[in-house]
Amino acid sequence: MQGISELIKILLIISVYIFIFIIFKYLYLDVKLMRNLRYDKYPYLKLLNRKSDISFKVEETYNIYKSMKIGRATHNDIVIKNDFIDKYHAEIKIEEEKYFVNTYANTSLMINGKVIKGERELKNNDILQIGTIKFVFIREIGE
Amino acid sequence: MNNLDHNKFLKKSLLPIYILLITNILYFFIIKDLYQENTYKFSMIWIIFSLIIFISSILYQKIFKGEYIILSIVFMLLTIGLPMIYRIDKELAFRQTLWYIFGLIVFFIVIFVFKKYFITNRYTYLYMGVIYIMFIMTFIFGSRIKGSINWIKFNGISFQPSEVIKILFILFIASYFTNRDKKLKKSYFLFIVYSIIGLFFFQKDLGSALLLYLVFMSIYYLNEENKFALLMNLFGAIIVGINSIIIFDHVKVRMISWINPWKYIDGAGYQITQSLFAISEGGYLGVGLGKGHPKYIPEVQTDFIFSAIIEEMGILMGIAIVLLYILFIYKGIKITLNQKNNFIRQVALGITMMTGFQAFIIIGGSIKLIPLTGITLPFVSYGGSSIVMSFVSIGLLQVASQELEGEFHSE
Repeated sequence: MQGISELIKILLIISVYIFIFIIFKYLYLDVKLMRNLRYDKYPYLKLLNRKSDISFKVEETYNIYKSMKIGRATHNDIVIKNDFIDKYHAEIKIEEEKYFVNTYANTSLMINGKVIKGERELKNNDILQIGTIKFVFIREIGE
Repeated sequence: MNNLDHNKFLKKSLLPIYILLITNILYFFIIKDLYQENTYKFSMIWIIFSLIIFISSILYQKIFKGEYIILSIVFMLLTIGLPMIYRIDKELAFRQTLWYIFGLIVFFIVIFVFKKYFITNRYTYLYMGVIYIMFIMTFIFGSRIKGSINWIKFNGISFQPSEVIKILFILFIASYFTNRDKKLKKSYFLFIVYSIIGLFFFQKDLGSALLLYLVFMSIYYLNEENKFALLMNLFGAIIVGINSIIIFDHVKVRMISWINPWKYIDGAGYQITQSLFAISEGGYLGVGLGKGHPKYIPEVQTDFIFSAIIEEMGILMGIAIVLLYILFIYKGIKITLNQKNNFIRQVALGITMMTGFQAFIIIGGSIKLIPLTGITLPFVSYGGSSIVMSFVSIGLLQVASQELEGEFHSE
């Protein structure tokens, strides 16, 4: 009887440690995931503004893994709730491994300081300005 | 892609809960050996407890987006705590189970209500008012239990306002710091904060006073650009602390019994020396549940449950508890970093800090690392108000772990 309860106690302590280990593993995966977000294999838009200057919600990076729409409305893939941005402002398209930015009828945006209407190809390190928000487009070549 | 990966990662998992249930069943077998009489009521407690854990985990994962790990960690702490309370006093364990159920109901209510109505920093005055009303009520209706006037009794239920004040205090400072310079002048704010801490001090509830001061300083440190003001606050506290050791007897006793408890083993140092005996008795694996003498330590079910657990379950279990708190704090800080709404972010930080400091103060106190001040070990100790308000606090953390629309103030 003595032996059994001793054994159960040891099993119990082991099970508590297994629990801690599992939780720890989850947290480890969490950290790993956080670190990998920015260095994904997809090209991405990186925010250039200081985040403290912005009073609305913008992510630091947006990975471009499909054609994506930018705008104020929640149906867009990249939602930026700023008054200087139209409900449906622009679209980033992927065609034959090339990236294009396309504005809608009455919107415009700036690439490297020039006002753009209609469609244009995006290259690595192009600076994309939508309203007051600036992004840099980064596409690592060779991947 | 971020989101996809993230969702895949956060795929709801019940694995920790299964381990929890196994632990629970093992505890059942250990404790069953001890108490042959009154088996019916005892089995009921265990079955109810396991069911609560399982059902609320599933409910939680079905209904809510966001964090589920925090709740698993908390359930593990409850699983470790309840058998110990049961072993100390069976009646207490029965009541504690009821408090768990009540706490969980409050937990779910808090998630809904807080998310809907309270994610705003406009209620600074409301929080402040309620804190002062609580204090006035305590001074009028309060009764002195265990040296400090911090209990209100009505209809046989005693209730501890200090636990409620802790949460309100965090909401108060968070709403002030995110709404700065709009309503309340800083000097008034500091006066209010120190008056609250001072009131705890005069109630002789040193644990809560210390805890609130630490939480306040950590949030203040993050929000204050003027480092000189910060240092002044720190120095002021040190000076007040040293003076109060000289002036007030109840503080002096704590210090003396911390520096050399062995000299006052029959008086002021009795509690801490008994706690140290209990810890040294335990060894690696403990003497076994039911074979130790936890009742030699006064207030073992609330303040000194950590020593009792070490005595009977061993230092390995004690380390496991500390690790669980570390995981809890880590998770809380992670939630704080991910949250974009500034108010709820500060709240999440405050709650994480509070739980962490509370565990540190009482664990440190019972192993004679720091002077002993009586507060509960969150989620492990016996105590209705403590359990319920701890559940409220993780409810707030859960709200913080969700993506919220709303005010995104620049920092």
